[in-house]
Parts: sequence; C-alpha cells; structure tokens
Amino acid sequence: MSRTVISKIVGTKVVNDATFMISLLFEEQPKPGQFVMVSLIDNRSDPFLPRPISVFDWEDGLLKLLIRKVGRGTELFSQLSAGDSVRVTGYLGNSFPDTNDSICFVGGGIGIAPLFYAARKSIAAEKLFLMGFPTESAVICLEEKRADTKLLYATDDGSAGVHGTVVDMLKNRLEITPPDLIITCGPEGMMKAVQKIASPYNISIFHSLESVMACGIGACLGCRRELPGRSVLVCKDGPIFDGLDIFPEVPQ
Amino acid sequence: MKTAVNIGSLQLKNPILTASGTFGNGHEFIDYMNLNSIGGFCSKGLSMEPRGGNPEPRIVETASGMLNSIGLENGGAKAFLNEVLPQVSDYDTAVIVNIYAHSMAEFVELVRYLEQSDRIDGYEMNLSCPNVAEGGAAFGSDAAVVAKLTQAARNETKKPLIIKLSPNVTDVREMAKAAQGAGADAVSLINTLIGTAIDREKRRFILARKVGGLSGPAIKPVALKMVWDTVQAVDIPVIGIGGIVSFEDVLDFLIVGATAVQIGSGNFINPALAQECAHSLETYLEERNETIDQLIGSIRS
Repeated sequence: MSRTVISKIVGTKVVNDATFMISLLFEEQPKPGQFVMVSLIDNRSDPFLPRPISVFDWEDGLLKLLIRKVGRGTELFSQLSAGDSVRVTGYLGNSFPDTNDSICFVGGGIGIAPLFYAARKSIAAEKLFLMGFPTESAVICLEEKRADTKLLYATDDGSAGVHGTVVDMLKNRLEITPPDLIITCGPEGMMKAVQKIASPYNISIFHSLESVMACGIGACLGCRRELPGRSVLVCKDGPIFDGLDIFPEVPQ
Repeated sequence: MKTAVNIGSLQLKNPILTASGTFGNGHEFIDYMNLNSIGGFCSKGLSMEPRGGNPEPRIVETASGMLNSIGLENGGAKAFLNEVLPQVSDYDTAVIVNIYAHSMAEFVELVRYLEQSDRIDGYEMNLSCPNVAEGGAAFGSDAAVVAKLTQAARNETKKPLIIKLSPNVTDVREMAKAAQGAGADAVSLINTLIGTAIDREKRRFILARKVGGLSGPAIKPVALKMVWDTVQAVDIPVIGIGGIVSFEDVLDFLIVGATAVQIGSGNFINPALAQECAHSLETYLEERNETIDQLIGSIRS
C-alpha cells in the first residue's frame, strides 16, 4: 500500500557538484526499484508539481534519496536541510526482478540511484555493479559498499576509474562470464546499447525508465509510453520494463 | 448533514468534488483517502469507444501550473461499466461520469448506454476540452450548439446533468444561460485555458500537440471571476473549478457563490487534498456556527 505523508528530513549530504542526498523518515519498507513523489510543502504553487525520485536506500525507517540537480525543482530540493519537511507519496511503481545466481547492475550517471538498494537487497550469489560517468567530477562514490557486491566504475574521459563507458565494461564482462540477469538505469541511449550488446547472450534484461509525470499514481496519464501492442504508464506499469518491450527494434 | 448541497435531484454530502481527468476513476486514490469523505468525483472523460489520446510529451509544468494535452484517453463506455465502475461502486460518494462525444448522435448513444447503470449519479457533459480536434471546446463556444447538445442529453436522462464550460469563449455567461435554458441542472467551470510552452534552446514546442490546457493556481483568479459572473447570470447551481490547491481556495469559490467545487490538478500534488478540504470545511462551519447555505454566495457587494 502506498500513502502520502509529510515527512521530516533528518539529514542532507552533498555528493558532488550536481548531486546530493536527502535522508528522511518514512516508516514503510520499499521494494527495490520503487520510487516516491516528493514536493515542497511551504510553497504549493511554484514549482507546482511533485518530482518522481527513486529510492536509493532504506533501512529502519530511514529513506535515502540520491538526487541530481536538473532543474528548478531539484535545485530547490538541494537547499533543504535537516528539520525541514517535504510531502512524500509512495511507494510507487513495480519492482526489479531478482535471481539467486548472478546479476549485473548497469547504471549511468544518476541512473545508479535505484540500483544501489536493489543490489543490497538482491539474493544473487554473485553481484556486479557497473557504473558510468562522464568525468571525475561527476563520479558518485558509493561509500556504503558491501562486501558481497563488486563495484566498478568508468569515466568517458578516463579521468577516474576505468577509461571508457559502462557499456564497454559490460562488454568485457560478458565475454568472460555473462550474468543471468542485467538490470539497468540511465540514459536511454545507454540502456539501448546494453540491450544490443547483451542480446546475443540470451540474458534477461530489465530497464528502469524515467518519465515526466504529474501524479505518479496513474491519474494524470502524462507518462504514457507506447510498447509493441500496448500502451503503458511508466508510473504504474513501470518504471521497470523488460528490455524486449522497450527496445523491440534491437535484434534478438 | 450540515455540509450537504444539492445539484438538481442529487444531494452531495459536501460540496467537495474532484475534477475529471485529475482523479482517474476514483480507485487510483483509495490508498490515499477515503472516497466516502467527499461529495463525489467526476470520472475521466468517457467516450463511447476507447480513445488513445494524444502523442507524448503531453504534460509540462509551467509557472504555478501545468499544461496538459492528454486528449481524453479512456477505455470506452463498455469497459467503464464492466471493469471500472465496480471498483468504486461500494463507496458512499457520488459518481459523476464526464462524457465526451464527437456528435449529438454519439452523445445520445453514450447517455443511453450509460443509463443501464444505476450506480451513476449524474453526468457532466464535456463541451470544453481544448485537446481534441473535434467536439470538445468547439461545441462549447457556440451557445446554440450548447443548447442543442444539452437538450439532446436531457431527453435521455432524468439524472442530474452538468454542463462543463470552457473559459476560451467571449462570454461564458451566454453558454451557461444556453445550458440552463435547455434543461441542465448545473454548469461547471472553468475547464483549462489554452496555452503553450516552448523549449527555447531547441526552438520547439514542448507538447507534441503544441498546445494544451493550462490548470493550477495560475488560473484561479480567472476561474473565480468567471464563476462569480456566472452565478449572477443563471439560477441553476454553478460548480467552481480552477486552481484549487487548499481549503482557502475552496472557501473563495463558495463565497462568490459556487454551490460546489471541483479539485483538479491539486490532486496531483496531494492525493489526499479533497478529503482534507472536506474535513476543513466541516470544522470551519462548526467553529463559526455557520450553515453551508449561509457561506455560499456570502460575498459582500
């Protein structure tokens, strides 16, 4: 069950120039891959709409959101501090599939946000988390690394980590030991490239999509997306979809 | 019930309704609020046949509001009766079906079809959608057409018939009078104002359909004025819509004479807003020892 509450912020943290983290009180436990709608409560008029933000982590009633400043709404969120409150509606959307064998998470930029909690909760025997960023200043360091997950990152310009893209890293990995399941979140170009390079290996691939949405609960119909043979709402039917549905043009 | 108001033969337990297109078909909100707490809700715009709506992008945030060009996407009348309505049937709240058609004949067909359900408490005839090429606002901007369509629907049903009016006209009062003259039980206004937004970097329109309907707090002063004008022009109830995001906004519409209100895109920001407004109204009247009838139209001239 989802609900809407005024939630208190207990901590904020600057992650890099464009990215920050908010920790807030939210009692219920999310499923990996779910998201919340967040809005400011002191100013109901402008910016008008809540923003969809994926769950970065949750533990003991503490919900963590990793947010990138992309516009006026998220810029205002970045100015919040401990003691402030926001409206949170959630949890929303479906959740990631899991496997008990081997799983690979592929995140591009802020797309790593929903993957962290999924990696932490996954029961897979082998977990690999690949991340890609444009350059060193955009790297999001996941301090809360866990021993059971192997974390690797690349930068496009080679200024930190592996030189190249996250797709290059995945390609190398596929040539050695392909996982059973790939979960991605990032720019659609990245997700499509993953679909392309992994399709010969007959691996299940799921992507977490982003969309503009006004409500997040299936009422505004703003986030509709056409899939082969059906139309879906990213908020309600997603945000996680089978790669075969999202990129039907990629040859199998 | 101290907060009850009447729309034709329909008694609403309170004047808080939710606006078509912003409340799904009610069931989307049951996690967030008790549907029994509000006077009723208006369904997503319903047509006889299923409609896919307009291409994406079809929403964009604007200053103190948003533009939408959804285009009346819905699953059609048959699915509504068989699949949608049963999900909300057991709630003690009015179900007002917002109806849309391309022609008079289709309106007649739709109302006739829906009349088989005894769970529908009333109809809101959409003569004001700005997001469709045929019908919609094109119907609602000619008083003679408003009268003809209202009369056609009136002939098919004894249930309360509300005509939803567009602000994109020279004088909304003429449309309201035409609806009243043809037997409407009430008018509801305003639907969205037509607007657009562009991406100046790419020099493109943001919405795929280029234009959309503006809603949200940005339009409230326009809505409040049109509701006040219309209240003075007709004898049937006027339902106020436009930019309600708080109980204070609800009060404003009631004070200028709206018999009821519809909360629209405010539902997107706080999916429990309608229930909170209904609760606040009850407390407000109790504290002031005022009746709802005393409150409605209490603006000093």
